[in-house]
Amino acid sequence: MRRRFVLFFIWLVVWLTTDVLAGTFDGRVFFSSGVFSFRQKNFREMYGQLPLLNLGLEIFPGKNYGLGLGIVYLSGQGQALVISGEPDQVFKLRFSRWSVPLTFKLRMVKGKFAVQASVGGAFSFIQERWPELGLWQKERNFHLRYEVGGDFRPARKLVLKLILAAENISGSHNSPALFGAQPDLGGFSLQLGLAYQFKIK
Amino acid sequence: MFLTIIPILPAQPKNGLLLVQVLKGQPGLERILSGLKITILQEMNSFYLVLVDREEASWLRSQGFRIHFLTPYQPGKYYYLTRITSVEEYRQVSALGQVIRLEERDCLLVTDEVVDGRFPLSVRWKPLSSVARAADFAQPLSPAFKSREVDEALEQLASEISRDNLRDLVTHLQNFGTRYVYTQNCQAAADYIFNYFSSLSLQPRFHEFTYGGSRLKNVVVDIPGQTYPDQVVVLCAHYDSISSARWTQAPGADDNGSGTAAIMEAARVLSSRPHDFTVRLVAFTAEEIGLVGSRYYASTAEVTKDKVVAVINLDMIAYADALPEDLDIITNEYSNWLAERAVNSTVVYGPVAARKIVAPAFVYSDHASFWEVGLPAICAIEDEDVHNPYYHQTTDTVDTLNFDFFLSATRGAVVCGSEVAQLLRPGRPATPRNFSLTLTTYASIFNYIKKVKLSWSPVPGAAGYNVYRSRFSHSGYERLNAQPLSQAEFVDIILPADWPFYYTVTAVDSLERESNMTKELVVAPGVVYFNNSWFLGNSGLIKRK
Repeated sequence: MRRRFVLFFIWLVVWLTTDVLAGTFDGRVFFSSGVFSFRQKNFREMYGQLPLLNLGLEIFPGKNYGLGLGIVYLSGQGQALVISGEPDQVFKLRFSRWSVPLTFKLRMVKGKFAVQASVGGAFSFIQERWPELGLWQKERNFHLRYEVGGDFRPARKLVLKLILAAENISGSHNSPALFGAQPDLGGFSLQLGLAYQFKIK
Repeated sequence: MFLTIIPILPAQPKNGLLLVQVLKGQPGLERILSGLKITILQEMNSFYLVLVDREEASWLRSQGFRIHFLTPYQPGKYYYLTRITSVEEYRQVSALGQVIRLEERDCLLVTDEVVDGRFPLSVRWKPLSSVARAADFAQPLSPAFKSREVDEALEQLASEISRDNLRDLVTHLQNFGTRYVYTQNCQAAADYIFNYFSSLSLQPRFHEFTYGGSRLKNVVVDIPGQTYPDQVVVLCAHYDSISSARWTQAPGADDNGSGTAAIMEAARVLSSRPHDFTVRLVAFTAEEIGLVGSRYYASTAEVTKDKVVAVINLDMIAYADALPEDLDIITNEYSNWLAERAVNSTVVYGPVAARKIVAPAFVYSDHASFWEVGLPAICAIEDEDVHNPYYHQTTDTVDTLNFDFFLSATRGAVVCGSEVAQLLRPGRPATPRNFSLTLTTYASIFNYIKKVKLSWSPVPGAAGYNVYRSRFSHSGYERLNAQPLSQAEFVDIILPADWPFYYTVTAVDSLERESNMTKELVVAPGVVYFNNSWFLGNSGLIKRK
């Protein structure tokens, strides 16, 4: 299933790139920030909301479809969950994730406003550390990413962006914090950003 | 005196189950068996005898484990382990039922009825346990016990064990004529042992039970420990005997008047000495009809892992077929630490040569009843293979015994018991009391840790404390603190592991003299059960498909 998806995605990228090279396109570079929240309750309990930064590029060869590429970084501090015994000490945790999403975008423009929906994949590097103990675990993961968003263009080359993203990230190891269940390291993020719009012929 | 009536019969089969051999030494096997709570009926030298249903057998195979089907485990059938050493014995045993060869001389006998009293006298046998064992006993062998210099207090103890007393005691036991379990003489022998313990100002008790319609009794006596009386070191031997003329003449001087006399003599020399732990002396009945006395006793509430530190079983320790004779110490992997100590004490304080034999398939004496409930136990015996030509004969009498060897074997066993029970020596700091452990487990997305908080009562006059940790029970301890601790508590953080962690503490005085160790506390391996489906291991969580 994953292999088919990857093949489809490569085909989509090739097709869109060919499209881009063949004609003119709109492009946007944007920077956004927001918060990320794990889907799993126990993970939210440990880390709460994590701050997130996103640097991205969007290219629209057609009026209503395009490609998005970005770098997302989220990081935060939390504390270990007590799964048995009396909690008489707090152990700090640090979680960080770098993601490189590549998404196919559809949009609908109405004057200065636009709404868009995206679906694609992302490659993520995840790290969790127990700083007091020097204990860490790293994980690399390819996963799905979905986005919906809204744009408002107050000036010709300036766009305000609102992005709501969701991800499914199946962990390769089962999680002690979930009492043995397989973790979903994904969640939801809400971002506000500013984009610079340009056009290339 | 206390009473238990617990039906102990040969294995009572359930429907749809299979008896299979699972080869030992397969990576991760014990973790899987333990995690899935698969029933291990018997540990043999090279495999586990395991009870599984067809689904479990298929699953184990699908995971690449090598298993060998033996026989269906059927209702209405009875299962025995037996050691067959000759063609004639095979012929006689196979007349009782189906014989399935397991390994070397050990076989499985499947019968349609109880055949307890019908085995040839030369054949060792035991009903196959119907008690499930956890696989948590499967640990690597503990490190070798480092011989110490001769301890004066222990040497004094050994020197007080009297050859004359041993001779008198075993002669007295022989003079009952027979101690076959269903005879009045056997009851009289029990009373004699009871009265002997009473004469030492101890408070013995009978452990009575009903078996085969008869009232039988073990004799139990405690020498209470001073620091941790709930921790018990058991020295035991069976006092019943058997022969071809069992109803009238079964003198059983070597088997097992010798072991019984040894524990009676142990009572005399140990009763006046203070120990940290309780020394319990038990004379079992009905060993010769299938370890019945010890199996009943091992099923009582007083025999649990958190109470019984060690079991030293003495069975036939006075016959020397060749000189110099050596004492065989039979052990399983789990009890290796105890066997190491027994060998050391026998060699140093016997003094006589001793040979450790790791043979979990040797289940033909009372120590096996304790193995079945997961306790460390050893059997001291003159020879693993019977070399005594008077074995189970009417000629097993005192005049065939070698009292030099008997004395040495008794000294070794008694000193070992005293050492494990921790003889208190004057001039040393007191052993810290009330040693306790609290455990908190913290988890993150990918990892978890265990925080182990140890505490104990301060020892008056102590300059500090040492904390020790080991992955082996009673051996391989490493000190965790560089300098003696001034506080009576300690915190240790450990990462998940597939093995347990054992802790103990000592007190040290200003002259750097160290006390005995506290009782041992253990943090279980990093295995957590999740609805029977999930469990944690060192290499992550494993799911049963």
